[in-house]
Amino acid sequence: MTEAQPGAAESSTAESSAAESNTAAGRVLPRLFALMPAGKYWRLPVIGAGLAGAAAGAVLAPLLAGRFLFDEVLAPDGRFAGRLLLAVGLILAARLATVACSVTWGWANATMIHDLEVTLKRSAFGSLQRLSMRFYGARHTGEMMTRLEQDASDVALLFHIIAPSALTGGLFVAGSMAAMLLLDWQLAVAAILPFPLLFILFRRVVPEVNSYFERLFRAEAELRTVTSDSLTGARVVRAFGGQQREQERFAGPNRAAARLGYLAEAMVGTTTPPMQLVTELVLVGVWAAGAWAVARGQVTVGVLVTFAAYLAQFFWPVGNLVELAQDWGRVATAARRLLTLIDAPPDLPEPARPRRVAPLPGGAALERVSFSYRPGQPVLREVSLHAAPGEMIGLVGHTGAGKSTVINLLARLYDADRGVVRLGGRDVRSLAGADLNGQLGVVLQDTYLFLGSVAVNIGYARPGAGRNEIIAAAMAANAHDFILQLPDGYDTELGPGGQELSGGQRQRLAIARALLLDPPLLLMDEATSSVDTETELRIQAAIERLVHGRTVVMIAHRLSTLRMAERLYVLDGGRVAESGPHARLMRNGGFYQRLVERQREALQVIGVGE
Amino acid sequence: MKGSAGRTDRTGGAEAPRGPDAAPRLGPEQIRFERTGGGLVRAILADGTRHEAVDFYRAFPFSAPDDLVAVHAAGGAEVGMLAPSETFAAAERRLIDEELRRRYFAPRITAVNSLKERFGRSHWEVETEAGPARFEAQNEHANLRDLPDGTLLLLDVNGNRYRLAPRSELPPRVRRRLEAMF
Repeated sequence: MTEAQPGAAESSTAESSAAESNTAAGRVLPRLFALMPAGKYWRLPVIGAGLAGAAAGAVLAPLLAGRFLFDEVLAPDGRFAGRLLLAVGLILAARLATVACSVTWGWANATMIHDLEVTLKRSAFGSLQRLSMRFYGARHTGEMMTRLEQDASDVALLFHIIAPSALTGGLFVAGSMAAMLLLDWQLAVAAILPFPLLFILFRRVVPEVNSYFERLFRAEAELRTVTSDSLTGARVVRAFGGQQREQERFAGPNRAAARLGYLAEAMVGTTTPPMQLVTELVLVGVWAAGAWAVARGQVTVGVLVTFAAYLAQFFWPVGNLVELAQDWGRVATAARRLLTLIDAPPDLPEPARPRRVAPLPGGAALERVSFSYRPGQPVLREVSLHAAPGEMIGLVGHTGAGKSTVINLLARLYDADRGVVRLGGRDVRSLAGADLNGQLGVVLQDTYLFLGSVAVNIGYARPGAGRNEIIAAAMAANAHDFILQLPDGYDTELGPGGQELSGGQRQRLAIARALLLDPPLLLMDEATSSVDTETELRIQAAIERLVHGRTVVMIAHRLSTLRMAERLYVLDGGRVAESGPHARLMRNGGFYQRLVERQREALQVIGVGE
Repeated sequence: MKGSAGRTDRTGGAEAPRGPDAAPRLGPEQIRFERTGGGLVRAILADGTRHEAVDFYRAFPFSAPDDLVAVHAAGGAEVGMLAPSETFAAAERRLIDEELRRRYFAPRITAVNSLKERFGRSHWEVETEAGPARFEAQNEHANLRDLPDGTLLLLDVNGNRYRLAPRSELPPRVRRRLEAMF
């Protein structure tokens, strides 16, 4: 691409804000549940029953090991005096039932966590595939990777920790309180006296903690973005000796994230112990009051032991409240961000009644098209151009003239602000995206190769293509010979971006890819700009085979590449400055003629010559 | 070359060639092979053209090792792609197989006697179908590759290749070490 394509943040911000309203905190939980596979809802009651059973067992345990054991079995006047085996059997049975319930909910919960994570990641990734180039222009890869990986894992905390803790904690509080009231209602009332104090502390601390964690998430996303950016550009960093600079660039967000993490953890760490101290003081008070009552014969030892056990159980969830709130903050933030991504509406809407045309007839046109990546900064102004079926046209102009934008609009990576883009005579906005796919072949200056074999990369254009077809396409693209020299031929695994191949080799694989697709419309953006002369000749020979008989819109830095074009459009400042066949434009003595002369002079200077 | 790769064949796999769209294939009527006195391979085309010291390349060494073999002349220029090997006479087939085995030599490891890791490198002592071997491999993901038939391809630090049984058939001890190392 020749001209800059700014982030277009405005549009994507609109996408986000439109979705934001759908992800208010109160709607997070229902939305998360809605994402679960419909056939798996049966796990919710299983998890609930398992948790309730485990909590009931835990609530029952102090009664059995306390009052029942001390007052009914060990006491000489108890109803089950001397029946120690019965007591041990009951305690053991309760414990086993608790374990069985825990195993049940643990298993069901684990499968649900897995399903939720998979669904969240799949939905978010599907959304990323659906969203426009404007969305990508406004975001960093690191940020999107964070959303896909970290956020989905954070949301899983809901089922890992929050839901079990909240449900168990709620049952503990209710069960313990009921048991304490039954055992000794005055002591029970005294035990919950510090609750208002704990509540005030909680209300003050939790918003602060959540705020820290929200800032921490943003700092971590920034850190990932810098890391991704720096590692992706590792070659440039080393070539310019920028290692130290990169370390400093990394150090800033790393320090910020560490500081916020420290502050958040410190707040949790410093508020939880005082809250626990309050509960422990109550416990000490109850022990003291209870001992005094036992000494006076008002309560039995069994009642005191049982009461103290329930009191510990009662305060256990209270002590975890801050950490639970912190986890919820993490879940809510991550869920909001993911749901924003999942709900983001595409800014290239599908037509309500798409016109089904497959295969698309040839021909491409722009009719009085204006376009800007950012409001107020037009890149194309009232541009009209036309390529008849089977015709090749060339786009010529300085860097930033708008040539690549024409390709972007024809490929419907963006929609025009004004005017109409037509493919096969149809307005692209009236065509279904699925119909458009496979009808367009695109060869860009920066060829991207995916992880996978050479054959898979060529076959990317048409999954299911046979090996013979792949070889034939590679032969036509002048790529076959170098592919066979690779260690594993067409089965050679390419690393990230196919960096082990030269620019010309990558370019020829891209041409093979386009040849395999065999599209009626071919868009070529600077396919030979960064290769040596010999490679350019090879690529040009491949292009000559490629363009024959199709509609082709081609941008070429080297004007010799465009010698096959029936017509050239010269773009200047986002407008068509002139158009026509090469010979006529040369006779006109205008912008194009000057461009050709300058390039010829430049080539003579370096001794290449046209 | 319009439609050099047609739109109709979506079979995957190595389907039959489809006229001008497919890579041309040389059968026994178009090309013959013989061993030269010096142990090289000579190719003789139907028109009498002789290529001394040709090389054979598998286009898909893993996913279709027995099909789509290319013949290159001494200078590197491609003479053509061979038709399926069964169309050639037994002697020629044997000759092609010998050449391919040599080029793509990757003995199968039959037993792992010792596997140790030191400083990011794994040290192997193995039995292979070609005899015992000791080698080192850099413990990087790219050096242990899952092949389409389920077997594993292991590359040592010198670029030598070894085949390992599919993961599910490896002794648990070796499988666990491999999972931890690569």
